[in-house]
Amino acid sequence: MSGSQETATRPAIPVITESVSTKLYREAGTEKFGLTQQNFVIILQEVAAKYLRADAGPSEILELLASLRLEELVLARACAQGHESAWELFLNRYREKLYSAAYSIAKEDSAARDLADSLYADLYGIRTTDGRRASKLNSYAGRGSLEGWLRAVLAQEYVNRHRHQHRLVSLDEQTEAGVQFEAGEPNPAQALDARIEEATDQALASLSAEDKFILASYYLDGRTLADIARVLGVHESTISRKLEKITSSARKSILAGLIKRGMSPKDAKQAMEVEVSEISLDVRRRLMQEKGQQTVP
Amino acid sequence: MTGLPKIVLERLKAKSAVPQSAAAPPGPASQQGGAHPDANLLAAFVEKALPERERSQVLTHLAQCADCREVVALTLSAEVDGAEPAHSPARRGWSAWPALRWGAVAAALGAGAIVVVLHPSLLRRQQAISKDMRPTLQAAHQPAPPPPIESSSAQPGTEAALAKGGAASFESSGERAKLARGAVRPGDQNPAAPTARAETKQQAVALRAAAFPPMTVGIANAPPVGAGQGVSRSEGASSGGGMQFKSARAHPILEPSAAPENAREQISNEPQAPRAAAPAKTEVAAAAKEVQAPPVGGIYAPTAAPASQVAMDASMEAHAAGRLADMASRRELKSKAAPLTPLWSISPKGQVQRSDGGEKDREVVRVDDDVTFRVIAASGREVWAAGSGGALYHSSDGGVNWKRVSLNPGGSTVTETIVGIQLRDPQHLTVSTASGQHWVTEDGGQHWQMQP
Repeated sequence: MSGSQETATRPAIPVITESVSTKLYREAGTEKFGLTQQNFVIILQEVAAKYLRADAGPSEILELLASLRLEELVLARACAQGHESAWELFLNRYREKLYSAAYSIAKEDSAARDLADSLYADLYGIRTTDGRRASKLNSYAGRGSLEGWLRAVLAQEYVNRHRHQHRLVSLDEQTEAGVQFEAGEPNPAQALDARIEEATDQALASLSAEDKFILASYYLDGRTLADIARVLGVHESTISRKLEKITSSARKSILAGLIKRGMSPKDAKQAMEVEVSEISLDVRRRLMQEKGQQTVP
Repeated sequence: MTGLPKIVLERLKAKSAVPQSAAAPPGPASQQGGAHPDANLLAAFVEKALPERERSQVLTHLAQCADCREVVALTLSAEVDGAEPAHSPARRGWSAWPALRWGAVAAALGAGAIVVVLHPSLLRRQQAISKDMRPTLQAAHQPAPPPPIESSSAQPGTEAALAKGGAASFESSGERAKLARGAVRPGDQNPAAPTARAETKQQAVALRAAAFPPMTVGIANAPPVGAGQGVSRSEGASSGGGMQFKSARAHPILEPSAAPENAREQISNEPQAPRAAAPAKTEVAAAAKEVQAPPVGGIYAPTAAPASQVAMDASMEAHAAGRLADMASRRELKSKAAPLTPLWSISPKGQVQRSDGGEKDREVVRVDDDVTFRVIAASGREVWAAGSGGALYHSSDGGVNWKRVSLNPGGSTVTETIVGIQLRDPQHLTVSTASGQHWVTEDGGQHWQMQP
């Protein structure tokens, strides 16, 4: 098995006791796919070594193992090893979902089919490394569901392709696109007092990861409140309140930072007012500019 | 909403830029020197299956990495869309029977004919409405003669539905998910359905007029425009439909002074919009006001545009409308303090957990300590959770009381882990086991049948 060589070279192999491995081996229904308990333990060690620190204690290892989707992990690894009934089960359970997910992501028939076919080939291990089939299913670690992992892999591939295509755009097109999407006015942020930048960076640094994620998703990516709420597993109204709170506290924090850096309160407020605008209105204005440029012959 | 200083955006953008090394392969995969979380972590993050420490690490990365945010969004959208087929059989229902389907069409035609024969004044009135509206919208400086219709009490709901429905049409027309932010999700309600909301006789007349516009039978039987999720991809591809949805979406949520372009668009598409007759008075008045605002940059000039430009326009419109719909949603969310529906999930330790959807932590709901739960599905107060050893639990009171449900009471008990639950409605449920068996109930879990 390919995993055994990898794990053998790792400096620290997490210890999984015999009793734990026996229990998990039975629960995961590993036997039916012809995986031995020894192989099973090697897979678990590989996963634990990947996601835990080298000095992780037994309780952390147990916690991780308990959270794994063992049945799906075993199924994926059995498929990667070419087990026929495992493949049959995999296809029965996931083939349709794979294509359906590809369609949801690509939104277009041929692109979706291409995306799904490409992943399917990777899963099957059509490509070989050192003369051996290298199935992508070997990288499934059971952290989430196998279905969720397939969707994430499809999404990654889609983003990769999109970025790759973006890189292949000709210089002329890039220039054109640059002109098209460039604001028609000079960027006032560039002409700003360095103190504003510092105060802003400080204000952003004080935000939690979740707050920054919300800001970036809403203002940079243009996600809706509902989209963000789904990602974070909360209600839309919670995101709305949070966004309001983050925005307001960022303003206060920047203002305080500017005053601390020697600006008078009046100047600080003025500096903020110059730069403050309803982003939503700004987006509208920008869109209107773009559309105006497109339609004018 | 409080404005966000532009400088914050600029700095966020700067910090969010993905460093591109020439040697690094494209893509956010974990193989890039550990810079990005791998698909395992992203999938577990989307499924809320990560422990707090790892979740926080992934969130920290996502806050700075636009590509991974995109991957998460796409993964989630595939998850939501993937759940859609579960709903479709339930929707099929009676309409799958040809006799009933055509019978319904015949009945609708018959009802229309009866209305026309018995109440010719209604037809005249309806024609008058249609005639009155078109010139009013085409030459908005003239005041519209008031049709005998009062604005419907359902208007705000209709606005929200239309706002969402329009975006869905763009999503279906092949735009990237990134450009279709305001898309309707499967399962969204359609408050715009022109039924039973009419409380007065006049409203009922208006709705009848909307149901039988002076066009063809096909149009009369078309689904309401607000039913965004009902629009098929092929329908979305037709330019007329797209434009109608676009205007229907964007118009209602804008202040008149802020939306001249939407008014112009609505005018150009009004003759094709069968829904226009229903909320006539308010919309006509609003459109008349809006049109008086100066035109902006020829954006909606009624000249034929190249296909690529139309597509780009559509995507821009979808994006803008999504954000505007979102702003409307934020206003709505701020104005109402409705109780939050509990959100259910499975903890990394395999326990059922509930959250009020707010900022409070999720609370663990003890269902069965001996079971490692894997999946949970909820619809209103109906909650189903399942996991190891074939354990399947049901609560019909929002998670207060739980009852273990046996999948196969007549034969041998299922002992495999249950890895999937598809809850179509309280009566129809499908559960999937680790070995690929599918068990179906059509009576809320009383009887189960294994699907071949």
